[in-house]
Order: sequence, then C-alpha cells, then structure tokens
Amino acid sequence: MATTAERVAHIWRRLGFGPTRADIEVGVASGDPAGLVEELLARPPTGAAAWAFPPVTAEWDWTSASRFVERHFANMAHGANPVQERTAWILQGLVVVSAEGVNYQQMAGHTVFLRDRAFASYKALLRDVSTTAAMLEYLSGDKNTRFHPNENFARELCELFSLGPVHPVTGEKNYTEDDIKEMARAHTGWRLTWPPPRQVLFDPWYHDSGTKEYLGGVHPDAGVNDAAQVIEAITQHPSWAAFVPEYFYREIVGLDPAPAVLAELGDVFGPEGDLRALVEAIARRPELLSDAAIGTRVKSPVELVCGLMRILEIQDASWLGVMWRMGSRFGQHPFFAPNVSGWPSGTAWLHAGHLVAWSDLLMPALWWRDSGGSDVPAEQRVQPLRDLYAGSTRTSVVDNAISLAGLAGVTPSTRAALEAFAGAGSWNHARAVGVLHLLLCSPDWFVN
Amino acid sequence: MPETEELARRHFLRSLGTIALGGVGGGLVFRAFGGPGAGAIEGMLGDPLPTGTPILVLVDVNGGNDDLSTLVPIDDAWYYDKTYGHGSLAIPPASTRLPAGLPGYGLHPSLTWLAERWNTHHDVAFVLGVGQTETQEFSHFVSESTWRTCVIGRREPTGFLGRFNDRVHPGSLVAAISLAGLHPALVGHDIHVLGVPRVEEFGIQASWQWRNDDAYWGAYDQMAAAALTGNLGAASQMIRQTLDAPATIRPAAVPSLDAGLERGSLAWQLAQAAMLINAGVPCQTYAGVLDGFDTHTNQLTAQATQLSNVDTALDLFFRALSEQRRRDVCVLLHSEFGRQVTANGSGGTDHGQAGLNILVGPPVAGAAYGEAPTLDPGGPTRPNRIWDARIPTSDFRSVFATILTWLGDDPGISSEVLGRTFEEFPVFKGGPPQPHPVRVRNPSTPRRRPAP
Repeated sequence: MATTAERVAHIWRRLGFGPTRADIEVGVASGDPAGLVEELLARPPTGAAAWAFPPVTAEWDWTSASRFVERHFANMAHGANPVQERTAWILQGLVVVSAEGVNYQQMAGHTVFLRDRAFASYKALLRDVSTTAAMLEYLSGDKNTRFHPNENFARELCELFSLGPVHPVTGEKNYTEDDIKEMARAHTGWRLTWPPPRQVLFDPWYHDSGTKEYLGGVHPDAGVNDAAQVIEAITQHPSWAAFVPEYFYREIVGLDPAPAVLAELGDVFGPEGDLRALVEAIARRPELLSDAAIGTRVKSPVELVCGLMRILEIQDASWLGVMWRMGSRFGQHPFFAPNVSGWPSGTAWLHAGHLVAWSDLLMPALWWRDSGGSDVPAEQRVQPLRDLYAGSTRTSVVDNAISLAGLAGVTPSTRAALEAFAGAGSWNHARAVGVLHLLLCSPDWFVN
Repeated sequence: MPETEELARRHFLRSLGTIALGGVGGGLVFRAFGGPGAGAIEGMLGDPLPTGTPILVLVDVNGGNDDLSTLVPIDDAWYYDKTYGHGSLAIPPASTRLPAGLPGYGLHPSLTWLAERWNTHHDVAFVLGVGQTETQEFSHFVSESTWRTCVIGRREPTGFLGRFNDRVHPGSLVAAISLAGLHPALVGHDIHVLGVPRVEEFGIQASWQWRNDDAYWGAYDQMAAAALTGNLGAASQMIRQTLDAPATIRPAAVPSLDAGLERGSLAWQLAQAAMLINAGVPCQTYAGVLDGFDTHTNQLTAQATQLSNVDTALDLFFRALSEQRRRDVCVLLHSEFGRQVTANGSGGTDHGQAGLNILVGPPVAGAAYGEAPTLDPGGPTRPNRIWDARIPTSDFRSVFATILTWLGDDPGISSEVLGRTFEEFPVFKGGPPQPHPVRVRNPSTPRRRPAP
C-alpha cells in the first residue's frame, strides 16, 4: 500500500514533471493526495507572457532556437501550472511536427500553438492545425492539389491524431484507403507563399470542388471549409471518443483503461474534444492513485531532464546542453521527433545507451559547475547540492538525497547500495553528491 | 577467478577507458584503445564469436523506400508513364548504373558503390516484390510493427531477431546490439537489447573522484543485482548491461573509423558495428536505422540524398571490416513498404505495398530473386494494383526465414521464430542454383494507354 508521500510524489510526476522536496513536504502535511490533485487542477492557466519564449530569429538560426528550446525546458520544469505543461507536452507527442521536415521558426510556432490549446477543444485544435504553415509543410499539405491529391496529412490525421487504425475495443478498422483518398481531396487548395516567412493561403484553383465521400458520409464541397468538414466527420466517428482519451489515460495513469472507464472518458471528451475536462477526469480516476499505477512508469528523457531541473532548481537549461544532447544522445528532442508518430515510450528507453547518455548529462549538472568549494562564483553554485552536504551526515545523506530527488522512498536494494557508498571512505561534498548521482542512476529514478 | 579479483578487474577495465580533465567545467577525454582487428578482449562477456559465424546487420530504411527508383525497371514503359507511373519522377535509363547480367534494370545513380559491388563481387542480392501478403497495410507504424515482430493482428512485445537470440544466445548481454536507440526487431523475452550509440564512449560516466572507487562501482553492482520485477527490473538490467558491457565494448573502439562522420548517421552507426564485429564481440545481430524515405514530396532530391547516404555507409562499412570477419557479414536493407506507382503530383509518391530487399556481403549469392510485380495497371480501374500499389509477390517473412536459417545454421530455427514455415530463397552461398534472370508476374504488355 503506497504511503501518502509516495502518492504525493506520484501525483506530481503524472500531472507535472515531478516533485521537489518542498512539494512532497507540503502534500504530506496536508495529508490529502486527492486534495493535491484538485489544487493542481485549479491552478490558473499560464500564457505567453509567463512563458517568455525568446524569438527564433531566422528559419534555421541555431542559436536563437537553442534559447527557445532551453526556455521550453524551463517552462516545463518550473511552469506555474504543471498540469498545463504536462498536457502541452503530451500534445507535442500526439500532434507531431518535426524539424526533420520544417524549420526552427515553424517548430517554435507549433510549440506555442499547442501550448495555447492545452486546455482547449481538441476538435478546434485539429481544425486549426490542418492549415498551419508548419503542419502543411510537414505533412505535404501545401503540395496537395486537386490535380494530384497527396494523402500524407489525411492518413496521419486519422491514424495518429484522431482515430487510430482500429477501434480500441472492437478492433474494427476505423477507415479505408478510399476514405483517406477522399479526405485528401477535401484538404486540397492550401498553399504557402514564397519567399519566407511563409504565409498560408487558400487557393480555390488548386482545390477539388467535387463532392467527397468519406467515413460513411457524402460531403458536398465546402471550399475553404472542407478541411473543417473533415474534422467534423471525424468527431462523429465511434473512435473519436476513444483514441485521444485512451492516449491521455496511458500517458497520465500509465495503464490501459478498462472499456467502461474509456467509455466514461469518451463522454467527458465529447464531440468538441474538451481536453481540460478529459485531463481532469483522468486525474480524478481512482486508478491514478492505485498501487498498480504508482512506481511503474518509465520516464522519458524529457521527463528525466525536467525532473532534474526541478530538484536542482536549474532555471537555465543551456548548461545542460539540452539543444545538442536531447537529439543526438537521447533521441528525444522537442524539435526533432523522429517521425510523425512521435517518440518511443516505456521500456524502449531502458537500454544501455540511455544510461550512458544520462550519466553523461549528470556530469555538468552535478560536477562541472559547482565543485562545492568556496572559490566557485555565486552564480555557478548549485545550492541544493551544497545544502545536501551541509545538511547531512554520512548516516542521514541517503534519506536527504532521496527527499531532494523528490522520491518518497526507494527499493531496499537501492537504499542498501547508497548506504554502503555513503559509509565508505571520507565524508565530503563529493561523497554527498556521489550519493545523489547514484540515486539518479538507480532503477527508482528511471521508473516511478 | 575469486570474486574480489573479478571485481577489481572489472573496475580496472571501466577506469581504463576514461581519463577526466579535473576541475569545474572540465570535459572528458577518452583514451584510444587497440586497433583494427585487435586480438581477443580480456574480460569479454562470453567467448569471442568464432570466425565463420554468420553476422547480420539489419539496416531499417525507414519511411517506405521507393524501390522502383532504387532498382529501376528501365525497360518498363509503365514506370515512365505520366498517368499510371512515375512520370517526371522516373529515373531516366541513361542516368542509372547498370548491374551486369540483370537486363531491364538500372540502379539509382546514387548507388555507385552498390552497382560496383554487384559487378565485381557478385554478392549483392535483390529480392523483388517483397511485402506483407496477409494484410494490406498502408500505415507506416502498423507496417513497421508487423515486419519487426513478424506477428500480425495482435500486440507482440518481441521482435523476430529477439526471439532468435532467445533461442540461440539465451541470457547474453551483448547478443543484440542496436546502433540507434532500441530497435524493436531485437527485443526478446530474455535478451535485453544493448544500445551502443558510440563504442568509444560506452560506459557509465563518473566524476573523477569516484572513477576508480570500489565502493562507488560496488553501489552500481548492488543496484544491478537487485531482484526487481517489471519495469524496475528492466531498469536494473539496463544498469547491469551498462556496467558489464564496457569491458567487452570499449576495447573494440577504433577512433579512426568514425572520425569525421556525422554522429548518428548511418555511416556512423555502421562504423560502430564494424568495430564490434572486428573485435569478435559475441553478437550475430546488429540493427541500425536511416530515416527520411517517406518521400511524399521532393522525392528526387530526398531519395537521392538518402540512397547516397546508404551507399557511402555500406562502402565505409565493408572497408572497415577486417579481412577475417568481412566474409561472415551480411547487410539487409529493409523498408516497411514500397511506394505507389503513380507519382502524386507534388513531387513525390505515397505509401505503397510491394518493395525491395537488398542483401549484400560475401555470404550472399549475387542475383535477383523473387518475382517483380507487374507495373501494368490492367486498365483505368487498376485491377493489378491495390489502389495504386503493386501487389507483393513474396512475403517479407520468406526473406527473414532465409536469414534466420543462415544465422542459426539450423533449418528448424525459422519456423520456431516465425511460428510457421515460409518458402526460403537460395540467397546464401551453398544453396541450389540461382534463379536468373528476374521473373515478372503478369508481365507488362507493350506500352499502351488503357481505354478511357
């Protein structure tokens, strides 16, 4: 049976990017995990002013894009509304655009686009994203003409963004190849201006003005509104109420929803695709706080880094090298989804290369910036590390490190390993940080 | 070996690899090891792979490579047809590279090395018309899942190469090496995939204070030995691998082999494989990935670039392999599907069905295998196509069965792994005479416009 502290930590991990020590202390003091859920859900949404994204100054400007991505990490780690941050990040893995196909300015625009809509209507989100410059370019929408329909967007819209290939309960195929071809016709006519910055325009000359038949319906031409008409038809499909609710449930709870639960969530999601209501309903499900859900989910690289930034109070992600590390070392860069299905999940992250990359990222975080000496300039000091050493003895350091890491407890094997190391050799700053380093490479940190 | 001695040896091997530049902000530098074809690695996990043992390097050509413009049917008017073929996207016959003895076909102009290899080494095989014959799946992700698991219609956690290793190398920490992330085809029930993004950097990084500290590494050992289950157990296993595998992996590093290559590129990935193969690491299955073949637009440029990357990577790879090991290695290029025959009008092609497998390496009997699906649409309603895709003539599992039989040197292994038997191709040397030239199912009629 999970303790209150474990439940509090768990809530912070699933509805945000992990707890700090203070978060756990406050949650435990209240003694009411369900109350914490409500407190997080009730936080007011944040907006562009709070996000303070710096502009990406040119299509492929690496430096300003780096500042943007670093700010993105800071927002995810420290944003005033963790649930909104979490929801926006889930959306980024669901409605995917990648710098494998579009430029950094468009990626920044897409990131903000999703953050703006984290608590809005998913139906409206899909309608809008159908004709953003980023999505048109990424999934060939700007090349889709009545003369030669291009199926790329229509296929991924159905398969990855809204319905899935089959109904999750019945296993029925959700659409046919003919549906895809007809929907592609409906999306024709959208173009991008040249030269950059690329503006979106609807050109009737390229639009297929015939009647289209898809998803069991006959749809007379609606011209510029044809794309919205496709979304309307998708929301009438039986899998509309299942696919996105199931996706969010898996992301937040970490389990597969029972059919009855999925049906309930589908009702909440509704034809408009109310994301806020969906997330709230999932957060209030008893399964979220069940022992089956706690301590079982594998963190993704972005979750690892954001969690680290929270516990060490790192505001500036530049010194973690997120812009170059997250893609080439971890394979999870917010700008570089490998393909339109987003990133892997679960045990796909648990391979040796992952631990190599993670232990390498811990070097600047724990060792290079602040050696613990008095000669380190104030702006380079990592105060939580100094506090860990100053506030601990070799007998208390393990508990203090566990609490600093926002873990409510660890498995006996991890505790024994840390205690053995803490008790060996000399006691100093490096040993205290060494204990934390080991903890951050333990199974308990990767899976929770 | 006494336990303490074993521990000390492991720590020595770990510490051997890294030298820290001490101080705040210091970087890490790595000591170079060994050299090409260095002798047996002391402390290797398992015995070195005996020479003569087959080694597969799977290259996942991801996105759906347009096979028609890879091995170009230069004599087939339907490929060049503006209405029912590639039209302006078609590769002109004059710019292809002609494989000797394979009339009617030319290789994409980017495949310089491959064409030369075909002509001089006779160890390149093209398997035509490969696809999924039991399903018609146009989704990348469903199709990828199907070929990687070889299981249709249900979720399957293991990949076909993982199940092979479950049987042939049970319990090994290094039997399945993934060169980019964790390749699903390698995942087994008992086999934990070893991700090796770079041989030279492989290992847990530690601060200089603890790099040679027994208590520090002892703590990792304890966490790796924990009796945990589920995902916690998988994380513990990850630590075990990352802790123990460096003694096998790191000494294989040959910095010159990936010097100057783009990190993570296919050439980079295959350079890591070459180092490990040369060192005799007991692994028969490597997997790398190259994305970028989903050419809905800009196909002429995009495919040329990616095929050039493949060609360069293969060239560097086979040159990097030692003489001793090269003869054991086969590279398989596989994509989730081919592309549609008719260009989509936006400079690309959409998802198709039948595609092409390419196998290359000294064990391969160079030839074209299988049957090329017809390009003749059969009329305006295209009855010879699935929508606009060619109908596969060979199930992809026939190719995999062929490879598994070769890898395992066991005629029963493929049916164990795949759940049933499949017709196999005589792709590997020592088999019956090769089918040659290419057979075409429903051969195209001379060019004619279908009746309106």
